[in-house]
Amino acid sequence: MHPSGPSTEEVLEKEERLRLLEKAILELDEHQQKCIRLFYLEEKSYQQVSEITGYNLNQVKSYIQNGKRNLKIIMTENEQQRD
Amino acid sequence: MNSNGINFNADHTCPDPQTLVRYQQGLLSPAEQHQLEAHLLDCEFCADALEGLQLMDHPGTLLQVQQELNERIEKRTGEKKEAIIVRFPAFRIAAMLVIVLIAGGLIWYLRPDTRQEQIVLDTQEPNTPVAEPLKESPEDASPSYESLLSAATNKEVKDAKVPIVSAPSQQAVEENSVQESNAKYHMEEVAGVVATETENETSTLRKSAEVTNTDLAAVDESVANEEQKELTKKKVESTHDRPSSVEAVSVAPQVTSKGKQAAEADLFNGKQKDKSQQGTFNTGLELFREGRYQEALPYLTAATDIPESRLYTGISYYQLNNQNEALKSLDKYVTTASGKKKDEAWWYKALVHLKLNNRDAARKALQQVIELKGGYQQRAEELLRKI
Repeated sequence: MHPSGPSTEEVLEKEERLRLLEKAILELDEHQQKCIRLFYLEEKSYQQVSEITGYNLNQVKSYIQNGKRNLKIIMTENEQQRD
Repeated sequence: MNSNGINFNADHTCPDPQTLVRYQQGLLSPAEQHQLEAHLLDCEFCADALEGLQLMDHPGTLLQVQQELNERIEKRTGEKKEAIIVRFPAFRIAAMLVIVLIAGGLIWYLRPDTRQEQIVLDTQEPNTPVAEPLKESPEDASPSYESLLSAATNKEVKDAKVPIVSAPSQQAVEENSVQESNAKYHMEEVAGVVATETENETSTLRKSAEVTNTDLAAVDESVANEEQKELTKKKVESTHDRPSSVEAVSVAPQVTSKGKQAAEADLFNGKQKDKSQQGTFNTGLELFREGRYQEALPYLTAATDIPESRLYTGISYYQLNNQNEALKSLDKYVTTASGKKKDEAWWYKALVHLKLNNRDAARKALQQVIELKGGYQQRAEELLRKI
């Protein structure tokens, strides 16, 4: 680890959040999950996502938008539960 | 991605319009597209801008418009320096306004002072005239001068006033001085009295604080005496019926002594004879009420025939901080038959126990006080709550 990088605690915290995010993604419906994974994790463009999934561009857009919103909701709920 | 550096979103630097246009025209690489799309998801402003672009027939013209606008802005920014110069007077005006306001405020602030001075002058000026009205005061007082004044014209009055008024004025002045000296004397007197009174008051207050209980006791005492008399009368009557009632038989021995006491008390009150212990008791009680407990004790202990003597002996011992003796006397009183002041006795028993640190005993005594429902009930309840 870089000396000026995040502390062990911070790393662990981030790991925990990533774990929760992964869990949250699994809670999304199939379409949203697919689009979110392609867009955010594989960093594809809408166009590419559309081509891969076969959804039209507007569908991709709305799946990603809604998926993102749902993820946020799930994550905040989980965090509140943790607190 | 090119960036115009303007940040409409807390987390992202927004893309410039050109990037948006190029994105719309499909000229960006997939990676660039993704980056922009990710940004659009978080930035409402850019999303709106893109939406607007999509509504345009020729989005390319936007870039021309933007260029023109930029040129105009540059022209204007050339005039910036002037604008800055123009701004300065505004600051100056503001500064001047502030100064004027402060100055005005100061003037306003200082105004009341001059007014006060005027007021002072106004009040001082009459000082000289004040003496005159004082001289004229006898006129106001005596109607004859007044009628004289009203009869004569103003000027004549003033002329006439001098000789007429001069005599009384002296008188008035003398009176005034006399009054003043009287007042002064009075003041000194008052001051002295106040000084002594305060001393006295503190002592009397202290005393009265001590005495209040005993005062109340004294009131109870007189009531008790009368009631005792009635009781004894009744009981004397009952002694006549002795053979018929068994209760009366048991009461009888007490009654005879009590009857005696009451009779003696009656005699004393009637100022016919003073051979009973009532006199001794009364002397003791008086000393007791004055808070002279040590002096009261010999009288109180001597008046053994009067049950209340034990109560006051007890209280005296309590006041003198002789708790064991206090307890003895109070116990004796509590166990004697006549019971008008048993609540008081129990109350003092509670206090004695508190002094002796016998909390349980004190509580029991207080409960007795409460059960008796006398004048000490409330205080007992309060005290019981505290301990």
